[in-house]
Amino acid sequence: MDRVSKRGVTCMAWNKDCSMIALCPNSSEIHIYQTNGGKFKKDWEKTPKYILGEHTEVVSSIDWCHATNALLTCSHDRNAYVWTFDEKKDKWIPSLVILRINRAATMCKWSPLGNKFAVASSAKVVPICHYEEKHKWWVATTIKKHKSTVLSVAWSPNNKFIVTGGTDYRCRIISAYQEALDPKDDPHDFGKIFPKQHEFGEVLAEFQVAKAWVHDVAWSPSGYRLAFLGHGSTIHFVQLGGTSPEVTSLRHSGLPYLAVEFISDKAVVASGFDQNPHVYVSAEPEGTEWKFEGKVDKEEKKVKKKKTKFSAAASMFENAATRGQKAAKKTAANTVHQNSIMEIYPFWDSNRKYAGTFETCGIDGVVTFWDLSKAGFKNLKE
Amino acid sequence: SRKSQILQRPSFSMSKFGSKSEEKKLTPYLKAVKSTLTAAICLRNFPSQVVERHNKPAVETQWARELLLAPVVIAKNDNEAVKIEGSINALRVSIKIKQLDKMEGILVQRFSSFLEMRADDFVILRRKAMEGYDISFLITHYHTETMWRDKLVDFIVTFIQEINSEISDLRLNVNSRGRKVAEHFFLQFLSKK
Repeated sequence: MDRVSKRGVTCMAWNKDCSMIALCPNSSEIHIYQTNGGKFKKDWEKTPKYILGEHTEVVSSIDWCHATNALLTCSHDRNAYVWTFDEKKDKWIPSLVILRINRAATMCKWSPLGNKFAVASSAKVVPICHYEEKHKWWVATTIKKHKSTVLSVAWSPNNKFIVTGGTDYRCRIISAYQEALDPKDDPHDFGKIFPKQHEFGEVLAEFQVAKAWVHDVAWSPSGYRLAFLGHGSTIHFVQLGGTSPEVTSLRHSGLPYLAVEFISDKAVVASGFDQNPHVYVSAEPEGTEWKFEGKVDKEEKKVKKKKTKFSAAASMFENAATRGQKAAKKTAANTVHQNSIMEIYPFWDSNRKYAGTFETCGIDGVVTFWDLSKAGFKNLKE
Repeated sequence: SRKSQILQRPSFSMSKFGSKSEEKKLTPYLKAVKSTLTAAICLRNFPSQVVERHNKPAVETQWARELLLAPVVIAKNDNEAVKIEGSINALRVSIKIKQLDKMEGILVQRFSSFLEMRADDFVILRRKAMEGYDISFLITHYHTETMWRDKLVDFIVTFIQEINSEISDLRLNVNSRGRKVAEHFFLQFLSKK
């Protein structure tokens, strides 16, 4: 089976050529497996090649920077580490980041250029960290606009903005522009809708439509669209580019989502407590029309093993002894994941416009691969 | 012999839980409880925003109002109700069991204290019931990480379903035992034939 850990997998990240996966098995360690190019667990090496153990509490988020091959991890112990690989010693060297937060860190993300990263925390702040060459360490500047725990953060493709979501029911677009690190040019023409776009820490837009905890946020590859989730089983899409951001809200009949990712400019994958990734599609790469397209996991019933009379009688007694029941009941869920899906990791193509495949990790410990074209989804690319 | 019949203790069988529940259809009351529980049991690991390096059930500490869901009380009538208090990382379910007279009240009290004393083994049971209720469960995200959420919901719904018949069985046993004891006591006063 695809189960990596009995206790669950809280977060994961792949390196650029997908030869290694770093994941946290719901403990304070980070396990890095060699995947041998395979996306399913059965192709990987049996034991992790590296076990990184600097954190003292559960690791809440891992991000692998494809530009610099640096690994970023953050944990409930209020710390974040940037790990760099030492080729000669074949070891990952940790470098502690002084975040200056006094509560847990919930999510961390590298910016697209890899020169800074954002950490969402329970201290109601988001430190944005960059590397000081003079002192050779990572320095944090804090964004303080939140009223409660920040659960998730995502970077805009222009390296300047972040979108955050948290338990204060709001999703915010905040500028994280730093003069020395960001290009001054504005290919998206955001200066027209966000006049204060180059002021660090300025809230450019705030969305209150979720009316529930915002579990995850995502930014589209083009930079003009956002998606965020609400605990009320809602998913909200934002279209930027006009005079003001337009929000479309959709509510579905299942359980809330925990993770959302764009896989192209017009398609989004969301998954959560339903244990099944759902695809939402927009007809055009711009605009406010979104609709639910379908479920990726077709939930086929598991094939039952043929039972002999003896095994049926033996299982009846076993059930009566251990569970106080007469007959063995259906135990496994019909989905591949047996418990909520925590993260979705899309595998982008070379120009980062379309991800036809993605990996999910769940709190059941399963890490598995999904191919959207094989699942019957078409026209997700532009 | 008659003596052995009288001295037999009333039987208390836990095997009733989970055996016939799937065959029984759920009443609207239990359907409402089940659907509310299925939504409220969507919990996630959430570190405390008040105490660093700690992880506390938000429904128990009640420190931050934004982390709590609105409490829902589903009442069948004055005597039977279920209170479901949700939060981001923990769920508290309190059950008020039907007690029509003092005898049932005593039985319910003894039954719940029997379970509450063994709350550690029960895992999801709360050691003290909430005020106004007879028994309470506290389910945290640690439990939903290791156990199936729909099975936990099924367990609680079955518990509510079976508890009434369990208490009335106990009451019938008490009555019939009392009758048998009294009968045997008066036997000694009958003239031997």
